[in-house]
Amino acid sequence: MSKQRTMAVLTEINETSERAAFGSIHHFCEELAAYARKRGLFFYVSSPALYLEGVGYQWTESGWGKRDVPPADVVYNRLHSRKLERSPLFAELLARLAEENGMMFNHRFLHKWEVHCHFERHEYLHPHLPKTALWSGQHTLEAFLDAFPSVFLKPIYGSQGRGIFCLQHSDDGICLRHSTSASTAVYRSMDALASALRQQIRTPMIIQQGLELRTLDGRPVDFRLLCHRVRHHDWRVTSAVARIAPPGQFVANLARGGELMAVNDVLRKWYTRVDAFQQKQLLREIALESAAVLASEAEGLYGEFGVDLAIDIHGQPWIIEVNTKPSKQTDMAASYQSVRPSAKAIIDYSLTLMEEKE
Amino acid sequence: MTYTLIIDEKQTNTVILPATLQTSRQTSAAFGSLVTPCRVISSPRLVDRVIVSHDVARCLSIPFAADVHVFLTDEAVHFGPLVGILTAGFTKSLHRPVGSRSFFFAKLLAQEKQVGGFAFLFGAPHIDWENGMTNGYFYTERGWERHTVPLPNVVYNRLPNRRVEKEETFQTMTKTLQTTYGIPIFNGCFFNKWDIYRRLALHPKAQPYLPATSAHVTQHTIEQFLARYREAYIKPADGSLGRGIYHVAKKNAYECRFRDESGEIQTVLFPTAMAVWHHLLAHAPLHRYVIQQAVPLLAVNGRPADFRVHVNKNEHGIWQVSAIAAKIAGKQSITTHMNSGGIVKTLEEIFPDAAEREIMLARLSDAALTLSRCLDEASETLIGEIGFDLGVDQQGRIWMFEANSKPGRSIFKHPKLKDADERTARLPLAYAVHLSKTAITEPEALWPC
Repeated sequence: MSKQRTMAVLTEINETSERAAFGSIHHFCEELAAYARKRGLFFYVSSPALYLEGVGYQWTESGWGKRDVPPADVVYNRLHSRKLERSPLFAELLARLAEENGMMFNHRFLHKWEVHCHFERHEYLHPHLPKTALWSGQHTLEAFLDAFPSVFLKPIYGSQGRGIFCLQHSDDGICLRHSTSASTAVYRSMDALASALRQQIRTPMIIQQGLELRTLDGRPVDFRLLCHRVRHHDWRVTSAVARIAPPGQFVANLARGGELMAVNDVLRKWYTRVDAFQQKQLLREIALESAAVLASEAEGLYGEFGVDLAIDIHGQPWIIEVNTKPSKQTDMAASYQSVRPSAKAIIDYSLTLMEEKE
Repeated sequence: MTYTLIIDEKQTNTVILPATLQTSRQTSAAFGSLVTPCRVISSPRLVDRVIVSHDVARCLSIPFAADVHVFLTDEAVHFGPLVGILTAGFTKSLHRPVGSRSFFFAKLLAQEKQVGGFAFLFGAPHIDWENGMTNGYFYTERGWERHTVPLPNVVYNRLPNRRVEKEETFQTMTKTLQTTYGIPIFNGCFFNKWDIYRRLALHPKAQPYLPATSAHVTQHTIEQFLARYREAYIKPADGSLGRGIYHVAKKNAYECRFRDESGEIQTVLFPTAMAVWHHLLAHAPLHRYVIQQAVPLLAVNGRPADFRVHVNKNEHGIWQVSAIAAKIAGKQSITTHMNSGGIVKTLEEIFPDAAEREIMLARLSDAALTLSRCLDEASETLIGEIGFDLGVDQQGRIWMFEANSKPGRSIFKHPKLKDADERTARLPLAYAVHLSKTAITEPEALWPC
């Protein structure tokens, strides 16, 4: 009898005397546990501190129970705090995993600028890659505003559409909007705009070419494709949805009040049946190429990416961003099935990793 | 070396070259199959640029400014090369011109920047025979673009399968391009296993690598192969991806293993070779099959392994090894093909010992290069790349199981083979430059009488 295969989810755990909560992925962990059991895996949820003590939470009929657990063969990293991933505690955990011959995916959070640099090395992706630079003040601002009708500034560590600036040429000057505060201001001179931005920008940002996106009722649309790794370094699209920005907003994130639609329904509003089919395939292929490129370029192991794409008015799809800790809210099958496809994909990939090692 | 081609809007009827290019009273400029008379000037101020006036560029249908090679003949200055990649299965979508293969070709064409020249994708319906022009798909920083250009200097055949390749349209088309226009085509056709074997078997240097093979799968050969080698493979002569392969072995009875329709491995026992043969006759078109000696392969973690060795002709027209990977058979699998559970590993992964790895690398490379040269000599068509399936037996001897003229690229999904992936995409274009140069400057070397 060989050793029991073991898998752990690593996340922030909110412990009270009554119960343990796993934040936004709490329910997802239950699905993982159910499917892991079906596949004969020993499964638990832990945090970096608990993992180092050999403690985790196991799912039982009566809920999540705390207990001593064996080291995991594969760890699924769902830590949400970037800070925690940079802490000595996390480094200690990585060292422990290496010692015990364990594997971990996703290796760590990849910020927007490193993702862009990885993509940029691959020329064939350039037609789908908005021009992007690291924000370094007025000089880059002028260059981008000269080249494009609109420009975005995004925090490299940002998520859920928070803290994004949109700059647009208008008759009176340059219009500056902010995604979180929904404020709008118009600046007549580049100097005034740059100094206003300098005051508001506290974190590293990227500056990015704005795109003339296709809209629905004037609302920008983007597409979130959740990609998972399968055998042979292949990737698969596990779920795909379109997200429609709320009226008056320029980002489509659900956290900002975006609305979900099926990809097909959106494409059929824009295109003939034949063209919609081609565009749908193309979105999938770009997402899969993106996932494969990132997984091969970035250091460490990656098994899951949320790829955000959008289509411009000429029908050209663009890579907007890639999320290494994708939210599970877009996995539409959730309400009908007990285990989402993305939960199955995570467990299946973990098993593949174990098999490939044997 | 390459030069940045600049299209000049002010001058007319002129081509200006750096003084470093030894011009000799050329009186025309050429691009692909088109030639137009013009003034050719040398300028010491140009170093890595060539200037083409806009009217000349328009006459020659140069689609856009790019980095190019310059080839000189007594009469003309040739810019390019213009490399046509021939395929089939075009869609109506400009964003996805060849369906699911679009990104594969985008990656290939994106390598053009490293190599210099103009490469484009085209098919039989895109050629305008009346005007000697063709429409093609170029992959630029803006994505796919269609341009009408002259017929190319060389054609790289990437037809997707044997069926398309055999179609009348393609047969006539490739014949016309070669004989009427003198356009060399490389990777002209898919290899047939038996044909390859026959050609290589005539070559003393290739013989030691060849497992015994016969194109006659009969009761007699089955008996003979099993008596001599105990195990053999019976496989389609022009199959791919490991489909339709049978493994036969003589133990107490005659054992025949194969994958059934649902992909499950079946083992059937027969009392005699005759019974095996009857079974095969009922299930496979044996007249298109070969029987081949099975070699007891080197094992990795108890599973048999073989090697994919990719060779390409480079920018000098010389064979070079461009990628090597090991393929380890799936549990209970009869082959190392990935669709039957095989996995790809790098040599580093399976030979952690550097000295052992270097020896293996050298021996596999040596075998692949020797076989490539032999195959080249024995072939009437131009070959630019080959994917060999090589095995190493338990005594360390190297065997060639298969040579593929259009080798699959699934091994390149392995993250450690990223460089090899780009190299194998770039080299066919580099070889196309070499071939273009030969076709332009010394065509007699290409078309011996």
